[in-house]
Amino acid sequence: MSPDHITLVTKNLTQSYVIFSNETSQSDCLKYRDIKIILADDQHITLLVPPSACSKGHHLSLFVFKNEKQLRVLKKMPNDRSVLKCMVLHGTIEEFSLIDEQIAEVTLKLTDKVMEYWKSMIDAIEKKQENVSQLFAKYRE
Amino acid sequence: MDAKAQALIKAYLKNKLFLVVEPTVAGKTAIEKMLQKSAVARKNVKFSKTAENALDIMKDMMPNYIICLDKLEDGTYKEILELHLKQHPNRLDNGFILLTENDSVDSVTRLAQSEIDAAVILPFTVTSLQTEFLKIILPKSAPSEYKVLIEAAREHMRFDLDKALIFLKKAKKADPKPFEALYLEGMIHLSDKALELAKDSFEKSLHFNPTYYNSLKELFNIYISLKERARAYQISKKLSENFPVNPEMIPDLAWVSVANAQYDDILNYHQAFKNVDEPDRDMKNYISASLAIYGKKIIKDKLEGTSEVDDTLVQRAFQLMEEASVVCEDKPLVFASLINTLILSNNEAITQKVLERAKSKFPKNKTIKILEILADDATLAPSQSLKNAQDAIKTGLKSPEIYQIILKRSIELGLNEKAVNDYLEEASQEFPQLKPEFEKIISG
Repeated sequence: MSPDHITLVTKNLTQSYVIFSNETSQSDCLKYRDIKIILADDQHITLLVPPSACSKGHHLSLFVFKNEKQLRVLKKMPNDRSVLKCMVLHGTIEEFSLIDEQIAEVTLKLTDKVMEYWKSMIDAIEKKQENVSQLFAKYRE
Repeated sequence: MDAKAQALIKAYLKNKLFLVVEPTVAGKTAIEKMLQKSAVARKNVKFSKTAENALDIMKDMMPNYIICLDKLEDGTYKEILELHLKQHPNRLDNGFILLTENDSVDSVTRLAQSEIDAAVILPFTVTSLQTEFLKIILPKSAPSEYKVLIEAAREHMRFDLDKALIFLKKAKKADPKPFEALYLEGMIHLSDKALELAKDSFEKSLHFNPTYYNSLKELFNIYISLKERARAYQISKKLSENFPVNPEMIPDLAWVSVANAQYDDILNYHQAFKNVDEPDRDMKNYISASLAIYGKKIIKDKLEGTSEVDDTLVQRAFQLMEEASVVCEDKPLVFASLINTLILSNNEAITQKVLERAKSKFPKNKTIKILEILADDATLAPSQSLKNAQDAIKTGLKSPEIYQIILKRSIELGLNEKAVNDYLEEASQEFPQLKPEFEKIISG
């Protein structure tokens, strides 16, 4: 068998990682392991976040990273945020609900986004699902 | 989707009951929206935020379909799935969709081999969720006779194997390529420990579908247990060429490749490993185990002169064994295998390097300490080696190999007969079955 044919089963995820600046409270949340995107549509994005980091009506800047390598060494938000190698989304929190003491669910209405990036993010979510679905089917057919 | 399919789905979903187990408001809303778009009546859907509440609802509701987050505040989806399978063992009118953020190949391939119908990855969009939902219900809304029989067999496999076999017999006649029916038949034979019958069923299943994963996996295990190495190798090739290779299978696959003199396979697994970004601990351990198997075989062949092993091959084996000692995270047995092989090879430089790594990783491991004394025996003066071995025995580190060193070196150094006999007696008391071997050392 040739090496090209071999793929190893890994536990690596292909998720995006997010940190954010709360422009309303002038604070940053770098706890990327506690922030998860759970839903996206044309106008909104829903995340799970630490409850103390934001409230309804707050304006957030989300920094979305393709992997966590940069975030592992990020101790504080740089003054010049353009040095972060990531995509940026801006939005206002329309819905805020507490799931438990550690987790709040927030839905942001996106107010400023690079349309091309947002479309590619939605496409990537649907493509990832398609890939998972195909792999799933491969084991059953 | 054409009008006929839409009508089928509408009819299929008309009286189906749904339970959504999802703690977030947005998730619940999105799923509700998707179900409404799929013509599911609002009154037929219930929601729960926790596992406990979901289990309560299930007792009365007996939902046909469950859409459930994998991790809930009070448990996981597993208990919910288990109850659902008990309530509805026939899955044609029922299903389970799991929401999870874990899209790793490891997780997806495990889920694909479980009884859930689909894994929907977070984050999702209403479109991606609906696409998955339709993929599940469309084939169930108009199943073939074969599928109905297969599902009936699966259902009866939980409690009535004889009846399951009757359904499978019918299923085999209902489809020109009944590979799934043959696989299930094989599983029933396996549960009866009828290995030959199971083997026959899986082989027939693969005749109709040569890359059917379930049959490949079971047949590989059967060939391994029957020591049918050439056949196991053919199956292992199909598995690794068509599916991602699970690291925990690599030592078995490596063993089969080595048994068939297909040494390059191990290098290919190693190459695939090197392509993995941040491999986890288990994967490192399994790869190092396969490299140890490779090294052991090459060195053994070289020493026995039983096959054509040239210097290039031997040098590569040394290099890979050293690499195995770097990669291996926490398996002292892998180190023990490497050191044992290296001691036999007389390559003192690499033996010492590997030994040092082993000692730093497992400073208290008894096997490694014994191997250190064995490795040192080849290089130290006889008196020093004898002292090492005697000290080891005093600290309770007793093994046949250490007694062998003591006896050999005592004779070599000309110790008095009483001292030698005392050691012989002690060794024979500790390991009575090896007494003749100890005596042989003394008699020279």
